[in-house]
Amino acid sequence: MGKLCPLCGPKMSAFCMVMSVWGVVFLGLLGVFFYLQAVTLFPDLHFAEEKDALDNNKVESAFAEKANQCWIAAGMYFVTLIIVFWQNKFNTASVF
Amino acid sequence: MSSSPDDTTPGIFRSEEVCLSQLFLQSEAAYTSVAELGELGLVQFRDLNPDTSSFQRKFVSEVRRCDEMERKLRFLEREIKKDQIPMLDTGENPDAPQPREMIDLEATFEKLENELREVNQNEETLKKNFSELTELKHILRKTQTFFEEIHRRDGPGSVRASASTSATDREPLIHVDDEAHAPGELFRQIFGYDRRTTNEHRQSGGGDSMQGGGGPDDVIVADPAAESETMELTGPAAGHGHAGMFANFGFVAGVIQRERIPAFERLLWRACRGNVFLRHSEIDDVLNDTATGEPINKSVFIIFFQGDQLKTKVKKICEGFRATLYPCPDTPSERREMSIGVMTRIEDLKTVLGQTQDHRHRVLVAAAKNVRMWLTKVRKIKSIYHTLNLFNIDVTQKCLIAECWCPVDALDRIRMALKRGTYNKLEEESGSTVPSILNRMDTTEAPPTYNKSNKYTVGFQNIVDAYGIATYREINPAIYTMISFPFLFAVMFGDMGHGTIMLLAALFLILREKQLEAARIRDEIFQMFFGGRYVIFLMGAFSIYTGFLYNDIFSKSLNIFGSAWANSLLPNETQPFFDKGLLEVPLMLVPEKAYVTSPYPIGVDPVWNLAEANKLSFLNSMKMKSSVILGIGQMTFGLILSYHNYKYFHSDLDVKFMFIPQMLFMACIFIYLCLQIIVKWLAYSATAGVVFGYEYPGSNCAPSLLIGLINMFMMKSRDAGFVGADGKVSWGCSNNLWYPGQSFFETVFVLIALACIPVMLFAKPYFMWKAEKERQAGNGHMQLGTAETVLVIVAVVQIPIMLFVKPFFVWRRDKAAAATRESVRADMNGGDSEAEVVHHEPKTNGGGGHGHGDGPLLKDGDGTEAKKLDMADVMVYQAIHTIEFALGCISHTASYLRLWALSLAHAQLSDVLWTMVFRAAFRSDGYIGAISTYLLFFAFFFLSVFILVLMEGLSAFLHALRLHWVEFQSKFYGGHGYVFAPFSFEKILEAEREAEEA
Repeated sequence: MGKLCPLCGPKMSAFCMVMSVWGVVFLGLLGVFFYLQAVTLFPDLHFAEEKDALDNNKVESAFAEKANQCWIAAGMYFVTLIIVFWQNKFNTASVF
Repeated sequence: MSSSPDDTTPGIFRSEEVCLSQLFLQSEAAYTSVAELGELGLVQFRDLNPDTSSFQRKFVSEVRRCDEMERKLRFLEREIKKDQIPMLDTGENPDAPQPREMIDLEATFEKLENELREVNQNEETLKKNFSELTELKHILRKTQTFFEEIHRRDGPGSVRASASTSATDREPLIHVDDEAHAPGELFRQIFGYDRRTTNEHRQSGGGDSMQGGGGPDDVIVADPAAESETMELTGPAAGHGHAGMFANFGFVAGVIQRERIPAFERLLWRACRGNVFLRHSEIDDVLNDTATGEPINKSVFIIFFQGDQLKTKVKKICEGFRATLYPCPDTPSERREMSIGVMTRIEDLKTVLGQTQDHRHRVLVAAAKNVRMWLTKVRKIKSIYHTLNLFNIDVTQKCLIAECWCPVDALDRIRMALKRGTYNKLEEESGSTVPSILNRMDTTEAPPTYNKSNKYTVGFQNIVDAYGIATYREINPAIYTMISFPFLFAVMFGDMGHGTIMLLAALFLILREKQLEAARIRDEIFQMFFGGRYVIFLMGAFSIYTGFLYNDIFSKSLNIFGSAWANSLLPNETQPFFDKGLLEVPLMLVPEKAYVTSPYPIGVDPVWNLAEANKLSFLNSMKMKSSVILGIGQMTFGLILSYHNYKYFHSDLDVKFMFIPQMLFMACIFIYLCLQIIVKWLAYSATAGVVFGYEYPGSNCAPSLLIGLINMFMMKSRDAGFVGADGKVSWGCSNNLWYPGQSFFETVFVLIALACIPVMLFAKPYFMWKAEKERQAGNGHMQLGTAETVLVIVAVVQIPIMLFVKPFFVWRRDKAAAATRESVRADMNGGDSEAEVVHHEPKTNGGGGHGHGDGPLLKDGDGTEAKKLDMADVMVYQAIHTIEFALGCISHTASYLRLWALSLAHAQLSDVLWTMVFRAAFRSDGYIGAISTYLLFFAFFFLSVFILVLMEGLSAFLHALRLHWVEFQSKFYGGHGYVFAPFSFEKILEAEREAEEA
């Protein structure tokens, strides 16, 4: 079996695997914390420069939005993980 | 065994007890006994013939034979590697072979080597022949094409080459229809043809690899002027018939490296003035160089010339260009015959070569199965003979005498090993032999330091040993380092997230230990991490803990138990501002109002993370104070260890005049400071009240400890309490005295600390001098000595009396001066009993195997009574030590502030990484936001790992290392020892293997 679409070698794919595993875990948890509206993450929220004051609804929706954003990114890392895992398995097999 | 009470100290706190022993080995059994000891690996042999050069020793011939065998094995191994045959390496550990077996091994290796050499030689010759024949084959083939082309052209209706541009260019090489112009015509035709073929080739894009001289030279040749010159030169030859011309024309054929062709061609042209004709053609096959075996590209060439002079010239040029000339017959039939001959010979050679290679392969495959085991065996034999060379040979030649250091614990096992060694021998050879004798010896020499370690502790032991090997039986700090090192590291690296990354990395190394060890990765950096995997593991675990205390995870905080801070501003207080349309209003959050009932149970309250303005002021103060407490705690612990060292070595002087003043000094200044810090934490809060009997108006009056410390030394008078008599809060109330009797206690502390310095400086040298003096005088004449001293001092005292007898009456001050001198004398007399006690110690403990000195300095020489005391040396040592300690306490305390500084740097860097890199991901919304999160997380995590975990981790590691080496170990650690290096096959084989792989 020849190399099918060899995007990255064994080292690169191992590195990416670690990164994406951590990405899934980290971003998943970060999403959970956004979802739980952790106060420590408040400075990370971004609000449009508007003249009217913040109210609770705005803040809550921003938290929910960021939680989703994190989970989507975590999902993307999960996809990356699958791709990289396939690459790793495949390329390692063809090395020997 | 001496029955010192300290011998019960468990081995892990101190190095193993090591004794010097003498071994009497029966000369027949010596070899096997040493082999057994090598397997055991617990005995360090001493060289008993240090003056003998290695060539004069007894077993030098055996060692040489082993070297020879090793060389042969390495040769074999190289050959095996060249053929890419896998070597069987089961990692098994064969016993050291009997000396008899050595002869068999030698014979085997000799045979193998000779066989291999012969095969190699044959192969080389065959290969050389083969390549020569191949070249010849190519020459014949190519020249064949040269000549065939000519024949093809020699057909009817030939036209002048220069005129003809037709595709059917069939011209003879030697066109002789016009006799008068024959030679010139010949050349012209040749070159004309040549040029045209070149053109042709250019047109047809290459085709056959036949190429003419190509380039401007050709054009010149084709030039009529050149032609006439050629005619002139070759003029005498003109007019002869065909036969004569053919007789004069010759050619040589040969092979040359392809790169040399252009230069070769040019030189030929210039040297022979264009009178030779060169044709060349590349050999398509890649040939192998006969000498080196490297692939090489070559070309066949053929040179036509006229006359013998040219022939010699051409041959010389060929020689100069390292071209190989081959005989090439003139006629086609001969060439064909020769070609056939060459082909058959090549075929034959191929068969023979194949057989030779097969044979070689078989030999090597057979050897590959055993070569590693043989190597192990030979190395064992060699190391045994090396060891035997260290032994002394008894005059009767019946036995060998060895001296060795061995751990007292292992003496039984060593005896067993010796018995095994002798017993094995007895079983094989009948005859009465005496068993080996192991005899403990007394020595004054310091034994080597042997700290037992396993794979968990070896990393920490290495950290300690890198600074200096512990003095024999000194307290081994490694055991304390195991906890304090990762802890101090973690104080600087406190972050749960980074700690987790580090822990996981270490866990990977630990769980994959076996596989990674088997993989034998030689990378130095990897080896460093792998060797310290347990250190890294603990560092990671402790970092998670300190991160938990700092409440820091990737610069964020976790609110696990619920913050103890609540907004003290009620909504109805803030609402008016909103109503007015103000978005930003500076408001004071009064701390005492914002605090709810009980503090955050453990660690830093998470609300500090959000307090942008106050966060650093709070964390800095907290971390700085805890650094000081940790630092002074560790240094005090070091001092306590020094007490145990002094006690262990029965050094009363050191306990009394080193440990006690040092501890007092430390306690009066620094431990007092620590207590102040803790009391301040406990007693002073934001709320007003009465503290230690003084009215405390609020946090602005909380005592300032640093200024307080300075004032303590300056003995500055300060007001007591924070509120003046008039009921007003006094200005600078934080610098005032804050508990009753503070100024008294502080004065006493400073005075005690100052008094400690001269004690540290002079007491010990003085008593040593005293003891030495008495020792010299001898115990029997003690009274006489004292009397003499008294007389001398009285006499000395007379001098100032005589000198100052008049001024004495005039100036009262001179009397006072005389009085001080007398008090000195009284002091000296008072010290006698003290000094006597000290003096006795070496004698009572003399049998213990080493000198229990008065301290690390005199350890080496103190066991022997004849050692002179060098007062200057002692004094300098003491002065340095005292100054180092007193100043060190201050500078080391300051040095521990690096705990705070690095922790701050780490937290800030991590904060910067989050706000500058990762936060940008949350600025955009929707799918772009998700993608930017995806990308920026990669950057954030990559930088986190490489900058924060790796680089910051390395820097925190180095600082923790320094704190241990300098600040902690300087308090008690001598480090004057040398390491116990036992004779062990395991270690020798491992070292050899590493050298092999390097």
